[in-house]
Amino acid sequence: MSIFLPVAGISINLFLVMGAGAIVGFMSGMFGVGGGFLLTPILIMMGIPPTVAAASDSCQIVAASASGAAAHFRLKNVDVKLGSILLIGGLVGGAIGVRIIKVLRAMGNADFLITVTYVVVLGSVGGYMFFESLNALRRGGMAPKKSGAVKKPGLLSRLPFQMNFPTAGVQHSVFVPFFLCMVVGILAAIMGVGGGFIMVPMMVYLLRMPMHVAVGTDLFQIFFTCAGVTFMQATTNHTVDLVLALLLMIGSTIGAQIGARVGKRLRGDQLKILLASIVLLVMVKMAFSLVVTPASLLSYATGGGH
Amino acid sequence: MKRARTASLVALAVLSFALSGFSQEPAAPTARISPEVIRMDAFYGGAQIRVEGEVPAGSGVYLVVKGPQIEESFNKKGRFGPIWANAGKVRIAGVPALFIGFSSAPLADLLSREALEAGQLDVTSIQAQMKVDPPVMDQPLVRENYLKLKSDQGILQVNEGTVAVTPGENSSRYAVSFAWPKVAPPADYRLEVYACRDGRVLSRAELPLKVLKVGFPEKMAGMAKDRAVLYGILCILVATLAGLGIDFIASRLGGKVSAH
Repeated sequence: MSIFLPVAGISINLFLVMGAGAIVGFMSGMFGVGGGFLLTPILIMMGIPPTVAAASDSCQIVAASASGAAAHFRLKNVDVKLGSILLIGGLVGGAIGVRIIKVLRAMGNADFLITVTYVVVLGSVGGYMFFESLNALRRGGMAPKKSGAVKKPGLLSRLPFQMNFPTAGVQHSVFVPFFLCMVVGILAAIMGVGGGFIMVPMMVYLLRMPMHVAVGTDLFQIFFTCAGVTFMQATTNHTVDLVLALLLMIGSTIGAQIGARVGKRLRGDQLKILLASIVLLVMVKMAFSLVVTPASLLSYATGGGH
Repeated sequence: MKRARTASLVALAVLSFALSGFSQEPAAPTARISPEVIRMDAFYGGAQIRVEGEVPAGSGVYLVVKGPQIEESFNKKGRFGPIWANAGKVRIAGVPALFIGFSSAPLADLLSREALEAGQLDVTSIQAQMKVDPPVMDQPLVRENYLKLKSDQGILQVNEGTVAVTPGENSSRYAVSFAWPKVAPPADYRLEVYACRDGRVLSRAELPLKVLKVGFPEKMAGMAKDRAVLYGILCILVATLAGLGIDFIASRLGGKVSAH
C-alpha cells in the first residue's frame, strides 16, 4: 500500500516506513538513544530527499521520546531535575559545537576530522562500556544497582552547589552534570548527532546513575532537543514532512513501548553490553567505510541525525 | 498552337509537382499520452503511462521524457592517505531532473552521435553537457558517479527496443507503456517524440506531461511553505500527542508495569 508524502513529494510504501520506525523506536525505548544515526540513512535509501529525511526524523523522535519518556516516567526512571540541567548543558554545548564546526570548516578537511572524532569517541565509549559490562557479567554481578549504591569520586563531592537528585539516587555539584553535558553537546554538534550514544554512557559511568534512570532521563531531554530542532527545520528550511513523521511515529512509538518493556526485563549490565555492542558496530562500520574505496564518490548532503 | 499550349501545361504541372516534392517536409509524428496529467493525491502510488501515435513510414521511433534542468549539491569523498572522507561539496548543473528514453531499436542504429549530442538525447550526451562546480580534478569520475546515482534511483535510463512499431502504407503506428517512477517529484515534464531515419532526426513532436499535487498533499505542502510557524507548532503538537496517546493505549493494553 502506497502513500504520498506531501513535502518530500514522493510516493512510498506505508508498511516499509512504519517498519523502519518500529526498529528505531525499539532501540529508543530500550537504550534511550534517538536512533537518527540509523533512520536518516534508511530514509535516504528509500528515496526520500536527505533534507526532508533528517528534518522529519527529528519530528518523529519527538513522538518516540514522548512515548518512551512517559513509559519511563511511570516506571519512575526519569529524574526531571537532573534532566533539566542536562538539557541546558547540552544546549550550551551544542551552540559551542556549532561554532567549532564553523572554525573547522574554515580550516578545511573538517569532515575528515569529524569522521575520525566519531570513530575515536564511539570506539572509546563502546569499548569501555563493553568490557566493563562483560567483566560484570563474568563476575556474576548481574543484579541491578540500587539507587545511590555507588559512591562518587571524592574530588567531585568537594565541588560547590551540591544538589541531591533523588530519582537518580545521586548527589552532585550542579556544575558536574552541566559541564559533562556541555562536553557531550559539543561532541554531538561536531559529530552531527543528538548525543544519546554518548549521553547515556556518560550518565552511567561519570554521574553514576542507574542504567534505567539514565535511559529515562535521556529520553526526557531528547524530547525537548528534538522539539526545538523540528520547529527550526519547519520554519527555516520547510523540510518537515508531517505525514512521513506520523508514519514513522506510529512505528517508532509502538517500538519504543516494546523497547521500554524489554529493557525493563533486562538487567543493567545486559542493557549496557547490548548498547555497547551497537555503538561498537556503528564504529566498526564507520572505520571500515574510512578505509574501503566507496561505491560512489558522491552522497547527498544531510544535516545529521540525533 | 494547341499542341504548344498542351505541352506548356504539362511542363508546368511537372515543374510544380517536382517543386512541391522538393519543398515537402516529412510529416511530424503524432502522439497521444495517457494520462496527460498525473495527480498526486494522498494515496498516490505511481502511475502507468501509455504513449501512442504515428510516424512517417519506414522511420524508427525514439521517445524521451525529460524533467526541468536542475542543480544539486553533493558531498564528494576524497582520499587522505589511507582514509576516505568527505573532501568538500560539488554542485552539479545542466542536467534534467529526470530522463527516461524508449526506442524502437538500439539507439546506435537510430541516431548518430552528433544527433544525440545536439538534442542531449542519451546518457553520454548528458554526461558531456553536465556542469561540475568547482571544476575538480577527477571530473570524469564525478560525472560517472552522478549518473550511476540517478540511474540507481530509476530516473535516468534508456530502454532500447521497447517501443512497438506496426508498419503501415504511409505511416507506422507506435506504442509504449511504462510505469512512472514513484520518486519523480511534481514538475512540468515534457515528452519528446522523434522520428528517425539514416542516423538523423526526420521530424519531432513535443507534448507536456504535468505531475502535480492535489487534495490533502497540496494543502499540507502549501501550509508547510506559506504558514511555516503554524506548521512547525502543529508538527510538535501532533508528535507529542501521538507519542503520549500511544503510550496511554499501550499502558492500558499491556497492564501496569511495576517499577523495580
